[in-house]
Formats: sequence, structure tokens, C-alpha cells
Amino acid sequence: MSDECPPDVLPFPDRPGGVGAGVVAAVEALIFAAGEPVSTRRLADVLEVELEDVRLAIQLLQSRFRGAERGIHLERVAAGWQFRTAPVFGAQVLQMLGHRPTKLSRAALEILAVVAYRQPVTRHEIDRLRGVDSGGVLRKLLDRKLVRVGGRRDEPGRPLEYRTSGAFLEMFALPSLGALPRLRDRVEPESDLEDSDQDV
Amino acid sequence: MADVASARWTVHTEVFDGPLDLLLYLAKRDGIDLKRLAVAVIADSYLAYLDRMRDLNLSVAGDYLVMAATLVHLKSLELLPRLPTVVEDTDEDPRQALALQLAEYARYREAADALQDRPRVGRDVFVRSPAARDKGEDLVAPMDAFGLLDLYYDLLGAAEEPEPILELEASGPDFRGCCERVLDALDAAGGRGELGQLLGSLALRSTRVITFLAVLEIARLGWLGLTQTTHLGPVEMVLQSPRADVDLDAISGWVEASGE
Repeated sequence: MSDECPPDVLPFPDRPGGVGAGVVAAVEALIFAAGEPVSTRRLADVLEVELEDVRLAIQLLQSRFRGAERGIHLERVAAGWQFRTAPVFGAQVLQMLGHRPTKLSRAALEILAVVAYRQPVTRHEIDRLRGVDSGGVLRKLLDRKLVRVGGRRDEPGRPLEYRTSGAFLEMFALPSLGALPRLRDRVEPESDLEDSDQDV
Repeated sequence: MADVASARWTVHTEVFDGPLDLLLYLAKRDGIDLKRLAVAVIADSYLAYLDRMRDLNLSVAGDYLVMAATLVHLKSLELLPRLPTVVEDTDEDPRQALALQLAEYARYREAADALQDRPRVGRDVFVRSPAARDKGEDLVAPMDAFGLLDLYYDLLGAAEEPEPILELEASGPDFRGCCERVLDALDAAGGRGELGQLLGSLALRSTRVITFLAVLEIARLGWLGLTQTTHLGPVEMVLQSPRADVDLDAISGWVEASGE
């Protein structure tokens, strides 16, 4: 740490004034107390400081709460910030809590993937894509609030449209839907299928 | 591998998540290129596999049989010489349609695998438990169906005031209107209210019943939480999202669809 900085102001290369140590500590306290992901805007409102101060504080906290030497990481999830245990300790934390790990069947994961990438999507579209009835598993995902009803499609029968929820982003540690890994490009079947048996 | 058929065997898990899943597995196992789907080969493997599932006493769902029929049909097309005119008329090769469907399914299977590998809350990473997130409210338990049923019978029986002899209403109580009134009442009261109180404020039994159904429907769609602090105690309704976000079309659509 450089000596030029006053003791109560933490250095930041991109902002000459830095951010007050008090703000950093307050942001840390609020994120911890909130439990659920809390947005930068909300933190700024509660602390009555500039959005930029909160951003700098989070940047600093994030650099502290990361890496192999920390058991708790500061993560960006569902458009907010949340303290989470480091993934390497998953098994030990489970053992201590005496919980069973959150399980999702492959069918559930497939449906989540279809809804996540194609939302809003109707039940019929999910069924057609998977080639199998998805009603029961979809209902369970609705009960677990990972999928939500997002209105009705303007077509005959007015079927319900489904979307992923904030809980989905939280469960899979995603800041937003935009953070989903890109879906692999469609591979077009070769059009020479017919040519291959021209001589039949 | 082939002689596993034994009476003692009962297989509980669903081995494949549908016919497309099975087809993908077979294509991978037999090294069939999805882009040039060799229908004859894959149809034979598929049918052989269905036989094996029957040997294992796995019930073969209808979806699998539909796919078997499709494959046999495609195979028959391949065996029969086609008239040139017919080829011109069909704008799409049915085999290509199946190959497309499989390829599309495979993309989402990969996406599902990617989700499976992400750090997951409750499996790999942990956040502060909901108990620690107690919002300083009374300890509440979610309502169960029996509590709601009791309430429903209470409200049916509570028709002390005589029903009016002549009812002059332009139209009968409508479901959508009841939904709106429930939401407006909750919104006006800061997003929460008590179910018994709400129903008690309604004079007509028919309106009470429809309002009760409206509450159930709104809760079912996740916009309303129902909680009860004590056994047989008052039922607290809490709006789960701002009034403006509630899509009434989604709520009342099924009533219109079923021809109310």
C-alpha cells in the first residue's frame, strides 16, 4: 500500500479521491446482512452515497473476497451482489449442515435450458423440442420458482408463456440472462441427403 | 449385457428422457453422423433397444412408439424408389426434418450439461440461510390445502344473512372482476390482507366462492403468498409482486377459454 494515501481513504487508480474506508465497510455489512442479492442502486440509496462510491467499494471488496485464500466470495448474481461460499468447500459445507445437495434431474435441466434460451416459450414448444411430454417436470420447476409464468401467447388457445425467474439466476450464479454461455450454433444437416441415394 | 432379463430385476429410474434422448445415445454409440442420418441403421438400433427395454420390464411410453413408427416409415421411404414428380412436390425431406430435430435437441442437451456443471446454490456454493434472512415478521407457515379447504367450508356455512330474494345485477359476478377486486384491495392495504376478512366483507355467497377461487388462482400463479401463523388461525395474503406487474390476462384466461 502506498504511503501517500490518507489512512481513511483507500487508493483507487481510476479515481483520484478513492473511496472512504467507512463506505467499503458499510457496503460489506449491508451485503452480508441482506443475504439475498442486493443491487448497487439499493446500496447507494441506503447509504446515501454516490453510485460510483458503491461501485468502487464493491470492486475493492471483490478483490478481497476472491481466490483460494478466501472461503467466502463476493459474487454478482441476479443483478445484485451476494456473499457465497467458495465452490471448493461444497462437500464440507453440506456435511456440516447435514443437507442433501440440491438435485435437478436431467429432464429438469433440459427444460430449464430450453426456457432460458428460448423464453418466452410455451409448453407445446418445450414438448416439441424435447420430443417428450414435459408437463410434470415443468410443474415442479414452477413450484420451485425456477420458472415463472410470463403471460400468454397471442395465438389460438392463448397458451401460457414461461420464463426463467430471478431464483434461476441465483441458483446458477448468473448475473443476468446475458451471462448464459452462448448456445452452440445450429448445425444444418447436409443438404446432400437426397443426393446420397440418387442411384436407388 | 444381453442376458440381464431376469424376473428379479425392476428398474426404477427412467433410463432415457424420451425418444430423442435415446436416438442421440444410439447415434453416438453407433457412430452415426447426425448430419447424414442413416435412417436404416438407426431405425434397426432403435427398435432393438425398445425390445430390450421391454425385456427389462420397462414400460415403453407412447412417445417412444410414435418415434418407432416414424423411423419405420422413413426407412420404408428409403427402400422404395421415388417418382421424380413426388420428389419435386415435397419441399422437405422427412429424414432431414428428423435430423434437424435431433440436432436442435442436441444443442439444448449441451446447454443442460453446461447448467449441470455450473456452481449451484445448495450443492456447490451456499448463501446465508433463509432463517438468517428472517425479516422480523412473525413466524409463519405456508398454508396447506387442508387449511384452505376448512376455510372454504367455513365460508359456505357462514351465510347467516339471507340471500336477497331479487338480485338486480347487470351481470353475474365475474371471475376477472373478483381477481381485480382482490388485487386492488391488497394493493390499497399495502400489499397484504387477511383472507377471512376479505371474504366476510362480501354479502353474496356466490361472490364469496368466486373470490375464493380468484385468490387460489392468483396464488397458484405465484403472485400471492398464503401464510397462517397458527393452526386454524387467520390466513394472511401477501402480494408477491407489485400490483402493476400482475398479468390479469394470465389469470382469467382459462376461465374464458373454458367458456364461463
